[in-house]
Amino acid sequence: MKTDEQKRIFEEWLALHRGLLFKVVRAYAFSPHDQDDLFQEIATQVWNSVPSYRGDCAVTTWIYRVALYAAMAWSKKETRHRDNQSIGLDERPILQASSHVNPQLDWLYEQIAQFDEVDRSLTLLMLDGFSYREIAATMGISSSHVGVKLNRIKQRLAEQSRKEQENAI
Amino acid sequence: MQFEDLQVIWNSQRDRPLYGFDEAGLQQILRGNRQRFQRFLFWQHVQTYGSTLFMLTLIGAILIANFTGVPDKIDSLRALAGWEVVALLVAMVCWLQFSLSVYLGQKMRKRREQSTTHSLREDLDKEICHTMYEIKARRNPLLGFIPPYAGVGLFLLVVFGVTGVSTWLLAFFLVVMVITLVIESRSQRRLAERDMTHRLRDLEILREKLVDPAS
Repeated sequence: MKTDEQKRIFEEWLALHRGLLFKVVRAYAFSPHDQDDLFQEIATQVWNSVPSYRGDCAVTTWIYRVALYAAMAWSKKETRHRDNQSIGLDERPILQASSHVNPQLDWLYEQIAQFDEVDRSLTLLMLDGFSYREIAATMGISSSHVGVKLNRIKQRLAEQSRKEQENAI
Repeated sequence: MQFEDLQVIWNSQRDRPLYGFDEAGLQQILRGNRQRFQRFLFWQHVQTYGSTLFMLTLIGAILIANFTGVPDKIDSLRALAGWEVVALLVAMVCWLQFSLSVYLGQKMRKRREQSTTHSLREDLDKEICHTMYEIKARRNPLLGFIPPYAGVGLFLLVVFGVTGVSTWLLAFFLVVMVITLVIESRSQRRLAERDMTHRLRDLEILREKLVDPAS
C-alpha cells in the first residue's frame, strides 16, 4: 500500500472514530501526560494496522481491537517503567481535555479504571453496544466466557453505584 | 442506579467529545516514529547483509586473484595452498549461513504471525510468539555468532599466512575477536533474560486473564 493511500485511510478513520480512541485512552491512562502518550501509541498502532485491514470486519471493530491491544500492552509497559519516565519539557501535548465536566461520567471511568486490563476492554465494548458475539470475536474468546465476565462486571458496576448513592445520602 | 442508567451516562459522550487533538502534531510524531523505525531496520540490514556481501566479495576476489596468477607477479605474495583455498571456501559458507539464517528466521516469523481471525487473543498470541522467537534467538547467541566470527578467523589466518605478517599479530587479532564474541553474546543474552522475559511474562499474564473465565 502506498503511503499516500495509507495516510488518506488513516485520516478518515481518525476523523470518524476519534471518539472511540478517546474512550480507550481515558479508560487506560489517567494523568494528562499518560493520556497523551497512550493516544500517540494507539494512533501509531492504528496507522501501522491500515495495510493489514482486509475489510472482513467493521472498521469500528478493527480500530477497537487495535486500540485495546495497544492500550493493554502500553498499560503493562507503563507500570514497569513508570519510575524511570521523564517528561520532555519541549513536548507539546497532542490531546487537549475538554472543558466540559460530567461528574457521573468521571465516576464511571473511575470504576472502569479499577478493573484489570481485560475487564476494562470488555466493559468498553459492552458499553459501546457490541453484542456478545462481536465481543467474543474481537477478543478471541468464547461467547459464553464473555457472558460470564460481562454479567459479573454489570453486577459490580450496579453495586458500586448503589454504594455511591447510599454514601451520598 | 441500574446498569441501564450507566449506559445513558456513557452515551452522553457522543454529544460532547472528551478531548480535542492537534492533528498536525500527531502527524509529525507519526512521521518521526516511522522514520526512526525504518532507519533502525535499514541499519540492521546493512550490518547483516552488507558485512556478508563485503566478506564474500573480498574472499571471492582473493580466490580469483589466486587462480589468475596474481601472486606470481607480486614478490611479497605466494599462491594459496590447497588447505587455504578450502579455508576461504569454508569462510564463505560461514558468512552465507549467517545471513541466510537471519533472513529465513525473519521470513518464518512473519509467516507465523500472519493474521487470520483478527482478535485480541490472536494479537496476544502473535506477540507472545514473536517475543519467544526473539528470546530463543538470543538464548544461545554464541552459536549464532560463531559462523561469522569463524569466517573472519579463517580469512585472517589465510591472509596473514599469504602476506607473511607476524603470527603474533594474528594471535592478537584472534584474541580480540574471541573477547568481542563473548561480550556481544553476553549482552544479547542479558537483553533476552531481562527485558524480553519480563515482556513475555506480562503478555502471558494478559492472555491468562483473557482466556480464564475465573480470573
